[in-house]
Amino acid sequence: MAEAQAARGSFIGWLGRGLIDLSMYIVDLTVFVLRAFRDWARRGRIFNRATLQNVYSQVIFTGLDALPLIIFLGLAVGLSITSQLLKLGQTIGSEQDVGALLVDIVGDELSSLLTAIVLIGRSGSAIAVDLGGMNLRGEVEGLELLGINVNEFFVTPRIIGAAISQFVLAVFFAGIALFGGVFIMALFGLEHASLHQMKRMAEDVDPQAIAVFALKNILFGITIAGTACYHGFRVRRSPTELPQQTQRAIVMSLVLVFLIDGLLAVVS
Amino acid sequence: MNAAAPLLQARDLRPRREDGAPFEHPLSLEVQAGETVCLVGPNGGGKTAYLRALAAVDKPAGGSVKLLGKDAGRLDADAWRALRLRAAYVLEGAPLLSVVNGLINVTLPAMYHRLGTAAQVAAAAQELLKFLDYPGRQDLLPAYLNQHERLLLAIARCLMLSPELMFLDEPFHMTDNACREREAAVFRRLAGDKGLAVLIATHNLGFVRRYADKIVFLHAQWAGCFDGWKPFSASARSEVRDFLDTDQR
Repeated sequence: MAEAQAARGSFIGWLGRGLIDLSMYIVDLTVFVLRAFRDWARRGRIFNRATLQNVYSQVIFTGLDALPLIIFLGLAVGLSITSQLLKLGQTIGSEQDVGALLVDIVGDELSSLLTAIVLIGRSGSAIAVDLGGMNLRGEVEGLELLGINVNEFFVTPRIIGAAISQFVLAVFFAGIALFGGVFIMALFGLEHASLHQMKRMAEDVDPQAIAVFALKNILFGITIAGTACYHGFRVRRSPTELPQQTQRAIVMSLVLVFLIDGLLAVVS
Repeated sequence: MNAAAPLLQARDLRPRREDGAPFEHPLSLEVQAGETVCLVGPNGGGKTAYLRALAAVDKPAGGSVKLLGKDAGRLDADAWRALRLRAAYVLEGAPLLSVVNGLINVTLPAMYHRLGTAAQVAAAAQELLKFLDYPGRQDLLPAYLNQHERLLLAIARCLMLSPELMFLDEPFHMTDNACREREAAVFRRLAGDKGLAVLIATHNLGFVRRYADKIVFLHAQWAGCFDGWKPFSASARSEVRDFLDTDQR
Protein backbone atom coordinates (compact mmCIF):
# COMPACT_ATOMS: atom_id res chain seq x y z
CA MET A 1 0.00 0.00 0.00
CA ALA A 2 2.70 2.39 1.11
CA GLU A 3 4.83 1.31 -1.84
CA ALA A 4 2.00 1.97 -4.30
CA GLN A 5 1.44 5.40 -2.74
CA ALA A 6 5.14 6.20 -2.96
CA ALA A 7 5.22 5.09 -6.61
CA ARG A 8 2.18 7.23 -7.38
CA GLY A 9 3.80 10.17 -5.56
CA SER A 10 7.06 9.81 -7.41
CA PHE A 11 5.22 9.55 -10.74
CA ILE A 12 3.23 12.72 -10.00
CA GLY A 13 6.45 14.39 -8.87
CA TRP A 14 8.18 13.36 -12.08
CA LEU A 15 5.25 14.63 -14.14
CA GLY A 16 5.17 17.89 -12.21
CA ARG A 17 8.91 18.45 -12.61
CA GLY A 18 8.61 17.69 -16.32
CA LEU A 19 5.79 20.20 -16.73
CA ILE A 20 7.67 22.89 -14.79
CA ASP A 21 10.82 22.24 -16.86
CA LEU A 22 8.83 22.44 -20.10
CA SER A 23 7.13 25.66 -18.98
CA MET A 24 10.46 27.24 -18.03
CA TYR A 25 11.93 26.12 -21.33
CA ILE A 26 9.05 27.70 -23.28
CA VAL A 27 9.44 30.97 -21.33
CA ASP A 28 13.20 30.96 -21.96
CA LEU A 29 12.75 30.24 -25.66
CA THR A 30 10.05 32.89 -26.03
CA VAL A 31 12.29 35.50 -24.39
CA PHE A 32 15.15 34.44 -26.71
CA VAL A 33 12.98 34.86 -29.83
CA LEU A 34 11.42 38.13 -28.64
CA ARG A 35 14.88 39.54 -27.88
CA ALA A 36 16.03 38.62 -31.37
CA PHE A 37 13.07 40.45 -32.90
CA ARG A 38 13.57 43.42 -30.57
CA ASP A 39 17.21 43.75 -31.64
CA TRP A 40 16.17 43.44 -35.27
CA ALA A 41 13.42 46.07 -34.96
CA ARG A 42 15.69 48.52 -33.13
CA ARG A 43 18.04 48.92 -36.07
CA GLY A 44 15.73 51.34 -37.87
CA ARG A 45 15.67 49.78 -41.29
CA ILE A 46 14.09 46.34 -41.47
CA PHE A 47 17.09 44.71 -43.12
CA ASN A 48 20.55 45.79 -44.13
CA ARG A 49 22.54 44.21 -46.92
CA ALA A 50 24.35 41.80 -44.63
CA THR A 51 21.26 40.47 -42.81
CA LEU A 52 19.05 40.43 -45.90
CA GLN A 53 21.54 38.07 -47.52
CA ASN A 54 21.04 35.74 -44.55
CA VAL A 55 17.25 35.79 -45.04
CA TYR A 56 17.67 34.95 -48.74
CA SER A 57 20.05 32.11 -47.89
CA GLN A 58 17.64 30.71 -45.32
CA VAL A 59 14.66 30.87 -47.73
CA ILE A 60 16.73 29.16 -50.44
CA PHE A 61 17.98 26.43 -48.11
CA THR A 62 14.80 25.87 -46.11
CA GLY A 63 12.26 26.63 -48.82
CA LEU A 64 13.53 26.12 -52.34
CA ASP A 65 15.87 23.23 -51.62
CA ALA A 66 13.12 21.38 -49.73
CA LEU A 67 10.56 21.86 -52.50
CA PRO A 68 11.26 18.59 -54.41
CA LEU A 69 10.91 16.60 -51.17
CA ILE A 70 7.69 18.43 -50.28
CA ILE A 71 6.26 17.76 -53.76
CA PHE A 72 7.15 14.08 -53.44
CA LEU A 73 5.64 13.82 -49.95
CA GLY A 74 2.54 15.76 -51.07
CA LEU A 75 2.00 13.31 -53.91
CA ALA A 76 2.58 10.36 -51.59
CA VAL A 77 0.03 11.69 -49.10
CA GLY A 78 -2.33 12.40 -52.01
CA LEU A 79 -1.98 8.82 -53.19
CA SER A 80 -2.31 7.21 -49.79
CA ILE A 81 -4.41 9.34 -47.43
CA THR A 82 -6.49 11.47 -49.83
CA SER A 83 -7.40 8.41 -51.86
CA GLN A 84 -8.28 6.45 -48.68
CA LEU A 85 -10.53 9.25 -47.47
CA LEU A 86 -12.20 9.44 -50.88
CA LYS A 87 -12.88 5.71 -50.80
CA LEU A 88 -14.19 6.00 -47.22
CA GLY A 89 -16.43 8.88 -48.33
CA GLN A 90 -17.98 6.62 -50.93
CA THR A 91 -19.34 4.36 -48.22
CA ILE A 92 -20.09 6.64 -45.25
CA GLY A 93 -20.87 10.15 -46.39
CA SER A 94 -21.92 12.64 -48.94
CA GLU A 95 -19.63 14.38 -51.39
CA GLN A 96 -19.75 17.51 -49.20
CA ASP A 97 -18.63 15.60 -46.08
CA VAL A 98 -15.73 14.10 -47.99
CA GLY A 99 -14.62 17.52 -49.18
CA ALA A 100 -14.72 19.04 -45.69
CA LEU A 101 -12.91 16.02 -44.25
CA LEU A 102 -10.15 16.26 -46.86
CA VAL A 103 -9.65 19.98 -46.30
CA ASP A 104 -9.51 19.56 -42.51
CA ILE A 105 -7.35 16.47 -42.28
CA VAL A 106 -5.08 16.67 -45.30
CA GLY A 107 -5.16 20.36 -46.19
CA ASP A 108 -4.90 21.76 -42.70
CA GLU A 109 -3.43 19.18 -40.33
CA LEU A 110 -1.26 16.80 -42.32
CA SER A 111 0.25 19.36 -44.66
CA SER A 112 1.31 21.65 -41.79
CA LEU A 113 2.61 18.86 -39.58
CA LEU A 114 4.47 16.92 -42.25
CA THR A 115 6.03 20.09 -43.64
CA ALA A 116 7.12 21.03 -40.11
CA ILE A 117 8.65 17.58 -39.59
CA VAL A 118 10.58 17.90 -42.86
CA LEU A 119 11.80 21.35 -41.81
CA ILE A 120 12.84 20.14 -38.36
CA GLY A 121 14.84 17.29 -39.92
CA ARG A 122 16.42 19.38 -42.65
CA SER A 123 16.70 22.96 -41.47
CA GLY A 124 16.29 22.79 -37.69
CA SER A 125 19.15 20.34 -37.34
CA ALA A 126 21.27 22.23 -39.89
CA ILE A 127 20.79 25.57 -38.11
CA ALA A 128 21.68 24.06 -34.72
CA VAL A 129 24.83 22.39 -36.11
CA ASP A 130 25.79 25.48 -38.09
CA LEU A 131 25.46 27.94 -35.21
CA GLY A 132 26.89 25.49 -32.70
CA GLY A 133 29.95 24.93 -34.89
CA MET A 134 30.40 28.67 -35.39
CA ASN A 135 30.18 29.19 -31.64
CA LEU A 136 32.76 26.48 -31.00
CA ARG A 137 35.21 27.95 -33.50
CA GLY A 138 34.85 31.49 -32.10
CA GLU A 139 33.24 32.82 -35.28
CA VAL A 140 30.22 34.18 -33.42
CA GLU A 141 32.32 35.96 -30.82
CA GLY A 142 34.56 37.26 -33.60
CA LEU A 143 31.55 38.99 -35.14
CA GLU A 144 30.27 40.26 -31.79
CA LEU A 145 33.66 41.89 -31.28
CA LEU A 146 33.10 43.80 -34.51
CA GLY A 147 29.97 45.38 -33.04
CA ILE A 148 27.66 43.02 -34.87
CA ASN A 149 24.51 42.07 -33.00
CA VAL A 150 24.38 38.30 -33.42
CA ASN A 151 20.67 38.19 -32.69
CA GLU A 152 20.02 40.48 -35.61
CA PHE A 153 22.64 38.87 -37.83
CA PHE A 154 22.10 35.16 -37.16
CA VAL A 155 18.80 34.59 -35.37
CA THR A 156 16.16 36.87 -36.89
CA PRO A 157 17.01 36.14 -40.56
CA ARG A 158 16.85 32.42 -39.86
CA ILE A 159 13.51 32.72 -38.07
CA ILE A 160 12.00 34.91 -40.80
CA GLY A 161 13.36 32.67 -43.55
CA ALA A 162 12.05 29.53 -41.86
CA ALA A 163 8.59 31.07 -41.18
CA ILE A 164 8.20 32.14 -44.83
CA SER A 165 9.43 28.75 -46.05
CA GLN A 166 7.20 26.74 -43.70
CA PHE A 167 4.12 28.68 -44.81
CA VAL A 168 4.85 28.47 -48.54
CA LEU A 169 5.87 24.80 -48.39
CA ALA A 170 2.74 23.90 -46.40
CA VAL A 171 0.59 25.61 -49.05
CA PHE A 172 2.39 23.60 -51.75
CA PHE A 173 2.05 20.43 -49.73
CA ALA A 174 -1.69 20.95 -49.13
CA GLY A 175 -2.35 21.78 -52.78
CA ILE A 176 -0.43 18.80 -54.11
CA ALA A 177 -1.81 16.34 -51.53
CA LEU A 178 -5.42 17.40 -52.04
CA PHE A 179 -5.66 18.12 -55.72
CA GLY A 180 -3.04 15.58 -56.71
CA GLY A 181 -4.85 12.86 -54.76
CA VAL A 182 -8.27 13.70 -56.18
CA PHE A 183 -6.83 13.98 -59.68
CA ILE A 184 -5.12 10.60 -59.49
CA MET A 185 -8.22 8.90 -58.07
CA ALA A 186 -10.33 10.55 -60.79
CA LEU A 187 -8.05 8.90 -63.31
CA PHE A 188 -8.92 5.57 -61.70
CA GLY A 189 -12.62 6.45 -61.98
CA LEU A 190 -13.48 6.72 -58.26
CA GLU A 191 -17.00 8.13 -57.85
CA HIS A 192 -16.24 11.02 -55.46
CA ALA A 193 -13.00 11.93 -57.22
CA SER A 194 -13.67 14.45 -59.94
CA LEU A 195 -12.94 17.99 -61.00
CA HIS A 196 -16.23 18.82 -59.32
CA GLN A 197 -14.81 17.50 -56.03
CA MET A 198 -11.80 19.82 -56.40
CA LYS A 199 -14.16 22.78 -56.81
CA ARG A 200 -16.13 21.69 -53.75
CA MET A 201 -12.95 21.42 -51.68
CA ALA A 202 -11.96 24.92 -52.70
CA GLU A 203 -15.40 26.14 -51.59
CA ASP A 204 -15.00 24.40 -48.22
CA VAL A 205 -12.02 26.57 -47.34
CA ASP A 206 -13.25 29.57 -45.35
CA PRO A 207 -11.21 32.72 -44.61
CA GLN A 208 -10.92 31.93 -40.90
CA ALA A 209 -9.44 28.52 -41.70
CA ILE A 210 -6.94 30.20 -44.03
CA ALA A 211 -5.97 32.66 -41.28
CA VAL A 212 -5.49 29.85 -38.74
CA PHE A 213 -3.51 27.85 -41.31
CA ALA A 214 -1.24 30.85 -41.96
CA LEU A 215 -0.82 31.61 -38.25
CA LYS A 216 -0.07 27.99 -37.45
CA ASN A 217 2.57 27.62 -40.13
CA ILE A 218 4.24 30.90 -39.32
CA LEU A 219 4.35 29.84 -35.65
CA PHE A 220 5.79 26.47 -36.68
CA GLY A 221 8.53 28.20 -38.69
CA ILE A 222 9.35 30.59 -35.84
CA THR A 223 9.43 27.69 -33.37
CA ILE A 224 11.63 25.45 -35.52
CA ALA A 225 14.24 28.10 -36.31
CA GLY A 226 14.03 29.73 -32.88
CA THR A 227 14.58 26.40 -31.11
CA ALA A 228 17.47 25.52 -33.43
CA CYS A 229 19.18 28.89 -32.86
CA TYR A 230 18.57 28.70 -29.11
CA HIS A 231 20.27 25.31 -28.87
CA GLY A 232 22.99 26.24 -31.39
CA PHE A 233 24.03 29.11 -29.14
CA ARG A 234 24.11 26.81 -26.12
CA VAL A 235 27.13 24.99 -27.57
CA ARG A 236 30.05 26.53 -25.66
CA ARG A 237 33.42 24.82 -25.41
CA SER A 238 33.27 21.13 -26.13
CA PRO A 239 32.53 19.53 -29.51
CA THR A 240 30.50 16.88 -27.67
CA GLU A 241 27.91 19.57 -26.92
CA LEU A 242 27.16 19.90 -30.62
CA PRO A 243 25.31 16.59 -31.16
CA GLN A 244 23.69 16.91 -27.72
CA GLN A 245 22.24 20.33 -28.46
CA THR A 246 21.24 19.36 -32.02
CA GLN A 247 19.34 16.37 -30.71
CA ARG A 248 17.61 18.56 -28.10
CA ALA A 249 16.72 21.11 -30.77
CA ILE A 250 15.05 18.41 -32.87
CA VAL A 251 13.16 16.82 -29.98
CA MET A 252 11.99 20.13 -28.52
CA SER A 253 10.92 21.42 -31.94
CA LEU A 254 8.78 18.32 -32.42
CA VAL A 255 7.26 18.67 -28.95
CA LEU A 256 6.48 22.35 -29.44
CA VAL A 257 5.11 21.95 -32.97
CA PHE A 258 2.64 19.29 -31.80
CA LEU A 259 1.79 21.38 -28.74
CA ILE A 260 1.04 24.45 -30.87
CA ASP A 261 -0.95 22.35 -33.29
CA GLY A 262 -3.03 20.92 -30.46
CA LEU A 263 -3.60 24.30 -28.84
CA LEU A 264 -4.67 25.91 -32.11
CA ALA A 265 -6.98 22.98 -32.85
CA VAL A 266 -8.65 23.55 -29.48
CA VAL A 267 -9.01 27.33 -29.72
CA SER A 268 -9.85 27.69 -33.42
CA MET B 1 56.12 63.48 -23.81
CA ASN B 2 52.75 62.90 -25.42
CA ALA B 3 50.20 65.42 -24.10
CA ALA B 4 47.22 63.79 -25.82
CA ALA B 5 44.74 61.91 -23.63
CA PRO B 6 45.55 58.21 -23.46
CA LEU B 7 43.34 55.91 -25.50
CA LEU B 8 43.35 53.35 -22.73
CA GLN B 9 43.65 53.79 -18.98
CA ALA B 10 43.49 50.83 -16.63
CA ARG B 11 43.61 51.25 -12.85
CA ASP B 12 44.23 48.31 -10.54
CA LEU B 13 42.66 45.99 -13.08
CA ARG B 14 42.04 42.43 -11.90
CA PRO B 15 40.31 40.24 -14.46
CA ARG B 16 38.56 36.99 -13.70
CA ARG B 17 39.88 33.51 -14.35
CA GLU B 18 37.74 31.04 -16.25
CA ASP B 19 36.40 29.67 -12.96
CA GLY B 20 35.28 33.19 -11.96
CA ALA B 21 37.98 33.76 -9.31
CA PRO B 22 39.89 37.04 -9.71
CA PHE B 23 43.58 37.27 -10.61
CA GLU B 24 45.57 38.41 -7.59
CA HIS B 25 47.78 41.06 -9.14
CA PRO B 26 46.28 44.40 -10.15
CA LEU B 27 47.49 46.05 -13.34
CA SER B 28 47.64 49.79 -14.06
CA LEU B 29 48.44 50.90 -17.57
CA GLU B 30 48.10 53.84 -19.93
CA VAL B 31 48.31 53.46 -23.69
CA GLN B 32 48.72 56.29 -26.20
CA ALA B 33 47.99 56.32 -29.92
CA GLY B 34 50.78 54.74 -31.98
CA GLU B 35 52.14 52.67 -29.09
CA THR B 36 52.80 48.95 -29.25
CA VAL B 37 52.14 47.21 -25.95
CA CYS B 38 52.98 43.54 -25.47
CA LEU B 39 51.54 41.30 -22.78
CA VAL B 40 54.02 38.53 -22.05
CA GLY B 41 54.56 35.84 -19.46
CA PRO B 42 54.39 32.12 -18.91
CA ASN B 43 51.22 30.16 -19.51
CA GLY B 44 48.70 30.61 -16.73
CA GLY B 45 49.78 34.20 -16.06
CA GLY B 46 46.56 35.52 -17.53
CA LYS B 47 47.64 37.20 -20.78
CA THR B 48 44.33 36.54 -22.52
CA ALA B 49 42.26 37.40 -19.43
CA TYR B 50 44.08 40.74 -18.95
CA LEU B 51 43.88 41.54 -22.67
CA ARG B 52 40.13 40.85 -22.73
CA ALA B 53 39.59 42.98 -19.64
CA LEU B 54 41.72 45.82 -21.07
CA ALA B 55 39.66 45.67 -24.28
CA ALA B 56 36.41 45.76 -22.28
CA VAL B 57 35.47 42.38 -23.75
CA ASP B 58 35.05 40.82 -20.29
CA LYS B 59 33.97 42.55 -17.10
CA PRO B 60 36.84 42.53 -14.57
CA ALA B 61 36.58 41.40 -10.97
CA GLY B 62 38.13 44.64 -9.79
CA GLY B 63 39.62 47.94 -10.93
CA SER B 64 38.56 50.10 -13.82
CA VAL B 65 39.20 50.52 -17.53
CA LYS B 66 38.68 53.74 -19.44
CA LEU B 67 38.68 52.99 -23.13
CA LEU B 68 38.58 55.91 -25.59
CA GLY B 69 37.36 58.13 -22.76
CA LYS B 70 34.53 55.81 -21.79
CA ASP B 71 34.27 53.94 -18.51
CA ALA B 72 34.08 50.33 -19.67
CA GLY B 73 32.19 49.30 -16.56
CA ARG B 74 29.24 51.54 -17.39
CA LEU B 75 28.57 50.66 -20.99
CA ASP B 76 25.16 49.34 -21.98
CA ALA B 77 24.87 46.83 -24.84
CA ASP B 78 24.50 49.48 -27.56
CA ALA B 79 27.40 51.58 -26.27
CA TRP B 80 29.54 48.44 -26.01
CA ARG B 81 28.78 47.56 -29.64
CA ALA B 82 29.55 51.11 -30.74
CA LEU B 83 32.86 50.93 -28.87
CA ARG B 84 33.81 47.76 -30.72
CA LEU B 85 34.07 49.73 -33.96
CA ARG B 86 36.82 51.86 -32.42
CA ALA B 87 38.52 49.19 -30.30
CA ALA B 88 39.07 46.13 -32.48
CA TYR B 89 39.82 42.72 -31.02
CA VAL B 90 41.26 39.77 -32.93
CA LEU B 91 40.74 36.48 -31.11
CA GLU B 92 43.39 33.76 -30.90
CA GLY B 93 43.37 31.75 -34.13
CA ALA B 94 41.71 34.71 -35.93
CA PRO B 95 38.41 32.93 -36.54
CA LEU B 96 36.59 34.15 -39.65
CA LEU B 97 33.02 33.45 -40.69
CA SER B 98 33.40 30.03 -42.30
CA VAL B 99 30.39 30.22 -44.64
CA VAL B 100 31.56 33.19 -46.72
CA ASN B 101 34.76 33.77 -48.67
CA GLY B 102 37.74 35.86 -47.62
CA LEU B 103 36.66 39.09 -49.30
CA ILE B 104 33.11 38.95 -47.92
CA ASN B 105 34.59 38.37 -44.47
CA VAL B 106 36.48 41.64 -44.87
CA THR B 107 33.56 43.66 -46.24
CA LEU B 108 30.79 42.18 -44.08
CA PRO B 109 31.26 44.30 -40.90
CA ALA B 110 31.41 47.51 -42.93
CA MET B 111 28.30 46.46 -44.87
CA TYR B 112 26.53 45.60 -41.63
CA HIS B 113 27.37 48.98 -40.12
CA ARG B 114 26.40 50.70 -43.39
CA LEU B 115 29.74 52.45 -43.79
CA GLY B 116 29.35 52.94 -47.53
CA THR B 117 27.93 51.58 -50.73
CA ALA B 118 28.89 48.08 -51.82
CA ALA B 119 31.37 49.52 -54.34
CA GLN B 120 32.94 51.86 -51.78
CA VAL B 121 33.28 49.09 -49.22
CA ALA B 122 34.78 46.71 -51.80
CA ALA B 123 37.29 49.37 -52.92
CA ALA B 124 38.27 50.09 -49.29
CA ALA B 125 38.73 46.36 -48.69
CA GLN B 126 41.08 46.03 -51.70
CA GLU B 127 43.10 48.99 -50.50
CA LEU B 128 43.46 47.47 -47.04
CA LEU B 129 44.45 44.08 -48.38
CA LYS B 130 47.14 45.83 -50.39
CA PHE B 131 48.29 47.73 -47.30
CA LEU B 132 48.55 44.43 -45.43
CA ASP B 133 50.39 42.70 -48.34
CA TYR B 134 47.75 40.00 -48.31
CA PRO B 135 49.23 37.16 -50.35
CA GLY B 136 46.25 34.79 -50.61
CA ARG B 137 43.14 34.42 -52.69
CA GLN B 138 40.08 36.43 -51.68
CA ASP B 139 37.49 34.15 -53.24
CA LEU B 140 38.22 31.11 -51.08
CA LEU B 141 36.45 30.08 -47.92
CA PRO B 142 38.57 30.56 -44.77
CA ALA B 143 38.98 26.79 -44.43
CA TYR B 144 41.13 26.82 -47.60
CA LEU B 145 43.44 29.58 -46.38
CA ASN B 146 46.49 29.24 -44.16
CA GLN B 147 46.73 30.79 -40.69
CA HIS B 148 48.80 33.76 -41.90
CA GLU B 149 46.18 34.60 -44.54
CA ARG B 150 43.33 34.21 -42.08
CA LEU B 151 45.07 36.53 -39.62
CA LEU B 152 45.54 39.21 -42.26
CA LEU B 153 41.87 38.96 -43.28
CA ALA B 154 40.81 39.20 -39.64
CA ILE B 155 42.94 42.33 -39.24
CA ALA B 156 41.58 43.76 -42.49
CA ARG B 157 37.96 43.34 -41.43
CA CYS B 158 38.74 45.16 -38.19
CA LEU B 159 40.52 47.96 -40.07
CA MET B 160 37.44 48.41 -42.29
CA LEU B 161 35.78 49.95 -39.23
CA SER B 162 38.66 52.47 -38.74
CA PRO B 163 39.52 51.56 -35.14
CA GLU B 164 41.88 53.54 -32.92
CA LEU B 165 43.01 50.56 -30.87
CA MET B 166 43.66 47.00 -31.88
CA PHE B 167 43.93 44.10 -29.45
CA LEU B 168 45.42 40.86 -30.75
CA ASP B 169 45.49 37.61 -28.81
CA GLU B 170 48.42 35.38 -29.80
CA PRO B 171 48.56 36.60 -33.42
CA PHE B 172 51.76 34.65 -34.14
CA HIS B 173 49.95 31.44 -33.27
CA MET B 174 50.71 28.58 -35.72
CA THR B 175 52.69 30.57 -38.28
CA ASP B 176 56.25 29.94 -39.45
CA ASN B 177 59.18 32.34 -39.01
CA ALA B 178 58.81 33.99 -42.43
CA CYS B 179 55.13 34.69 -41.78
CA ARG B 180 55.94 35.95 -38.30
CA GLU B 181 58.31 38.48 -39.81
CA ARG B 182 55.63 39.69 -42.22
CA GLU B 183 53.09 39.85 -39.41
CA ALA B 184 55.51 41.81 -37.23
CA ALA B 185 55.97 44.28 -40.08
CA VAL B 186 52.17 44.62 -40.37
CA PHE B 187 51.82 45.39 -36.67
CA ARG B 188 54.57 48.00 -36.94
CA ARG B 189 52.74 49.63 -39.84
CA LEU B 190 49.46 49.61 -37.91
CA ALA B 191 51.08 51.55 -35.09
CA GLY B 192 53.44 53.64 -37.24
CA ASP B 193 51.48 54.44 -40.43
CA LYS B 194 47.92 54.24 -39.14
CA GLY B 195 48.64 55.53 -35.64
CA LEU B 196 46.76 52.73 -33.90
CA ALA B 197 47.51 51.68 -30.37
CA VAL B 198 48.33 47.99 -30.73
CA LEU B 199 48.11 45.64 -27.73
CA ILE B 200 49.37 42.11 -28.31
CA ALA B 201 49.34 39.08 -26.02
CA THR B 202 52.21 36.98 -27.28
CA HIS B 203 54.92 34.43 -26.64
CA ASN B 204 57.01 35.88 -29.49
CA LEU B 205 59.81 37.55 -27.53
CA GLY B 206 61.68 38.36 -30.75
CA PHE B 207 58.86 40.73 -31.69
CA VAL B 208 58.62 42.08 -28.14
CA ARG B 209 62.37 42.77 -28.03
CA ARG B 210 62.31 44.75 -31.27
CA TYR B 211 59.02 46.59 -31.25
CA ALA B 212 57.36 46.83 -27.83
CA ASP B 213 57.04 50.35 -26.45
CA LYS B 214 55.62 48.92 -23.25
CA ILE B 215 55.77 45.41 -21.86
CA VAL B 216 53.21 44.05 -19.43
CA PHE B 217 54.63 41.02 -17.67
CA LEU B 218 52.02 38.68 -16.24
CA HIS B 219 52.95 35.86 -13.93
CA ALA B 220 50.95 33.82 -11.43
CA GLN B 221 53.01 35.40 -8.61
CA TRP B 222 53.49 38.91 -9.94
CA ALA B 223 52.39 41.40 -12.62
CA GLY B 224 54.24 44.53 -13.71
CA CYS B 225 54.67 47.05 -16.48
CA PHE B 226 57.95 48.07 -18.20
CA ASP B 227 58.77 50.89 -20.63
CA GLY B 228 60.30 48.68 -23.32
CA TRP B 229 62.71 45.78 -23.57
CA LYS B 230 65.70 47.37 -21.84
CA PRO B 231 64.16 47.81 -18.40
CA PHE B 232 62.30 44.53 -18.80
CA SER B 233 65.42 42.52 -19.57
CA ALA B 234 67.33 44.32 -16.79
CA SER B 235 64.64 43.59 -14.19
CA ALA B 236 65.86 41.82 -11.08
CA ARG B 237 62.46 40.26 -10.34
CA SER B 238 62.93 36.54 -10.02
CA GLU B 239 59.74 35.84 -12.03
CA VAL B 240 61.07 37.92 -14.95
CA ARG B 241 64.52 36.35 -14.74
CA ASP B 242 63.09 32.83 -14.69
CA PHE B 243 60.86 33.62 -17.63
CA LEU B 244 63.65 35.11 -19.74
CA ASP B 245 66.11 32.36 -18.78
CA THR B 246 63.56 29.70 -19.74
CA ASP B 247 62.99 31.41 -23.07
CA GLN B 248 66.72 31.56 -23.82
CA ARG B 249 67.11 27.88 -23.00
